[in-house]
Amino acid sequence: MKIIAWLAGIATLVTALAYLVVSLNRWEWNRALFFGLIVLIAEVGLATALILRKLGQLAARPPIDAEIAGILRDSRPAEADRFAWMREAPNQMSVFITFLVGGGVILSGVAWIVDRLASKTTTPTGEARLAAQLAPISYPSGGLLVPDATVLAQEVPGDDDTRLGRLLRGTGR
Amino acid sequence: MRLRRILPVLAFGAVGVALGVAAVLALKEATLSTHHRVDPKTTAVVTLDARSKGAERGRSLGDMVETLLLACRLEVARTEMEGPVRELGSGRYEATFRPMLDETNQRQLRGCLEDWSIDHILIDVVSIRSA
Repeated sequence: MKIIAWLAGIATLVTALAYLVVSLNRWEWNRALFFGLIVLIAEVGLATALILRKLGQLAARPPIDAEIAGILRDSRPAEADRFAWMREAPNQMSVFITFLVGGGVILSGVAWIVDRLASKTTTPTGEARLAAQLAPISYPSGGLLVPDATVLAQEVPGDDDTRLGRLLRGTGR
Repeated sequence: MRLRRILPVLAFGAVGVALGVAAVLALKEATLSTHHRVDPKTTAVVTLDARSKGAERGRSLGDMVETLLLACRLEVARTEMEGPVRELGSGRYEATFRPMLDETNQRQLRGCLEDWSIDHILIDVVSIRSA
């Protein structure tokens, strides 16, 4: 009986769809609307039947045997506890502390090696070369103070130049 | 292994989509209006078979045929019915339209006449010929 109902539904859907296409092709709009409605009804009916059948299958599924389920649960492999080392244990040193201290020692060693290597890069020859490179930008040998001769030569032609006076005495006149 | 199970489904799906697209395109082509100019002096003679069932009392088959022809003429094209609808007997009728209908209009007129436009009357268009 169910098979007949299913076949009737599917046949209705297919036939109505075919007539819908034929009607559209023949410019018969009222017939096309009618067959379109039949297609829609058949489609909704079939979809509802499919959902109901699925629900029926779920309900008819045999109950799970609790004993077998328990056996299966017990036979599961133990889950790996990957963060056990983070738990606080009063009687044992945490491996985290070990790693922290060990990492500090290694980093200190590396820093000491880098320091020793850096100190070996400064040699007397290198220092002399650096001094020669810095000579062009060094201060003048007599310092930045104006010499006495320049101070005494204030009353010379061109002394009224403000910019020159500022350069020589620090104040413009 | 999983790919081997999915491939037939994909193939069927692709074929289905291709067929669907082809069908829609064909339907679009079939229902597309392509009109062209016709000679205004030409005429078209439409011959049809009509039958009615459960019509209103006092409503003749000829009246219903004429009404349907007028309605479809208005819907399809700018054409006039020349003269009255002629009854040829045994439910067969004939009407003349001026000017002639182009190919698309002929299809539309045939579809309109054979459609379920008016209750209680069913029409089969026998021919649409130029005269």
